[in-house]
Amino acid sequence: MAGRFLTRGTLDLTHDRPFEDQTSDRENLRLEARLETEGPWEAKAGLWLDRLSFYGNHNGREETRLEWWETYLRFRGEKVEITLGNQLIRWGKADEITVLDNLTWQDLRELFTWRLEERQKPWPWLRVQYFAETFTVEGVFTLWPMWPKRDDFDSDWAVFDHLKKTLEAINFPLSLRLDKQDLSPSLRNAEFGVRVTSSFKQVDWELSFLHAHDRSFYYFLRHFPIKGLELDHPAEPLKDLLRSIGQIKIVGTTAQVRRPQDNILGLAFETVWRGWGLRGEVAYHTGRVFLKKDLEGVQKPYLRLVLGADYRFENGLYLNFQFLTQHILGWSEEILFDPEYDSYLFLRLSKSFWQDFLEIRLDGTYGITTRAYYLNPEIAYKFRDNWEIFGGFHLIDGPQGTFFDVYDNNDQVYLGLKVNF
Amino acid sequence: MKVKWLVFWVLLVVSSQALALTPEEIAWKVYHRPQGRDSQAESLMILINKKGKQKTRQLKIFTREDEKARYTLIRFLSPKDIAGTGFLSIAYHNGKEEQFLYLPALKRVRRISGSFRFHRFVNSDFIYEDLERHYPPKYHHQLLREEKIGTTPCYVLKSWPKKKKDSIYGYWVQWITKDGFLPVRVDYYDRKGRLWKRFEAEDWQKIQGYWTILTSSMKDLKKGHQTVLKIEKIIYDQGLKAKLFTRRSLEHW
Repeated sequence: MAGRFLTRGTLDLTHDRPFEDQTSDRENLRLEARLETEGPWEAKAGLWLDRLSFYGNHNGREETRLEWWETYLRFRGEKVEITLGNQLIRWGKADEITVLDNLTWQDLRELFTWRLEERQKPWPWLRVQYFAETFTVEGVFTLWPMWPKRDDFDSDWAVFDHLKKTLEAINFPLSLRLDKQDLSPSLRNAEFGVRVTSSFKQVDWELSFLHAHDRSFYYFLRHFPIKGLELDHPAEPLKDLLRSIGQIKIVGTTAQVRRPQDNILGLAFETVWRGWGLRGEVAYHTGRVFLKKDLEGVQKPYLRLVLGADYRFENGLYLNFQFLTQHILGWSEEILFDPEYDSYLFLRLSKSFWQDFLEIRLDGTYGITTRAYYLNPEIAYKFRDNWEIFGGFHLIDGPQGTFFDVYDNNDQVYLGLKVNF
Repeated sequence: MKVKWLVFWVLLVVSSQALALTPEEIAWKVYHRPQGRDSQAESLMILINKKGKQKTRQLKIFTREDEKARYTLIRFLSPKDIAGTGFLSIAYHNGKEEQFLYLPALKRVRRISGSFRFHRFVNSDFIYEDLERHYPPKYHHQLLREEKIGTTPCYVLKSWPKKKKDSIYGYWVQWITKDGFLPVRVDYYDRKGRLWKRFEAEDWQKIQGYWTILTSSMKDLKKGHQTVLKIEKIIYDQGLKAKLFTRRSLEHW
């Protein structure tokens, strides 16, 4: 039996808009039990209790969830391993920025302010692995369609919160609602994939194919009820609204959200060279979702490449950087946020002190094309075994019209505690 | 008669010279010393700070050797925040080495690059390099003297890397038992020649015919903290399977 308790409180650095939240807090408790037998069978059961709340404006809210954590039954044969149940499966070789790690359910309710391993949640899969002498073949299958968890309204990180609040502030005669298509588990909505992994002369590589539902941050919106709106300044929709007020036509109150499917073909590698760790991934999507300026969704083929390297200097400084470049095939001017070619640099620096019990780290993402950035300096101190206190800043900014610009006012300071037991 | 004695003494001196080991041979003897076809140990790692405050880590260490390489798998069992962390090292007999790390939080095995060798091993005073066998051809060796540690006769061997990248240390001096070629004390010096760390075996015994260090410590003489490593139980030659030393096994937690 094991468990973990994690909590984090945040405070906005500025309160520049009346409808913005000022604080948030999150408590997360995870309990896990493992059963191993002398034979080939093993089982795991886990529960996850999560509370997230936002305060500071009249729309503040709280959400508590109780869900299964890793809960599965596994058969471990000589060459074959079969696992059925809720599990965390990680594909790909790259670190924080990955384009192939698509088998976990991502919690994006606080966007990317948690690290990847904290955002990832288990999902019910049937996983079959065959371990040959020189390679491994793996198949995954689920009846349950998966997409990331986002908030629509009522949080500073929610997709349509800024737009809705802006409309409300000017008494715009529309109360925006979303009609989400709730896909039921079925063969038609099933997701499946196959992966082959192997090593050649100290180069680990993998080839994968995944048929899944779209994992992007954007909704695939059909019939957005405000017609004639062209959003050029998503962080300040009022500007665009006033500019196009003459052409705007309201045809309803509901935007329909659909869950389209996507195929992802991937190739990844990992190796070491002269003290450096080198990793890379390429993904080709047959239909990735993007948002258009009229706020309806569109699917486009998409090519993504991420290359990364890491190194630990003798003085203990750790450097990890990644370069991500992505290309929308068939791009057009109507696409909001994403340029045809888009590149990002990710940097992680950390240095440890006091026998590694104190760590200072900095994560930074910079949009080469968009010139937007996200910075996360953090300090963490393990004041006794199993107890870690951490604190830092989330700093986000970007030029007008960029995705990061929408969250420009969400700069925050945070303090947290992690306890393992 | 005198001539016979002279010949006898000359032969004795020549043969003893011929039988004396060169520094390189001693280094190879250490490298190849019998450690069993495989072993399984339950150990404690105790971190002791300057003030004497202790933190304990519980771990299992598995080893295996075949015609290709020597394999080592280390799995941490406690404390809870590092429980499940696994480290797999494959030291090929040609001096090449592969290292893999499994962190339960990441749910993924990562290949570790050479630059990690100089980093602290889970908060201890051991760095990854200290856990490796030093492949003799990568280092220079010099036999300084022979002396006893307690009542145990030892070779005192100085070694230093031919290339800077092969060690974070400037040089190290080992006290190696003549019986069993076990390094029972190692003084590590930094690149400026200052004494930095000291490894000392406090208890070593022959178990199932293999010399084994049961209690040892690594002291950081600059910072005043130390790590004690205790083997509580060890079993050799029980026929551990090769599949235990794979990435599949490392990921199994």
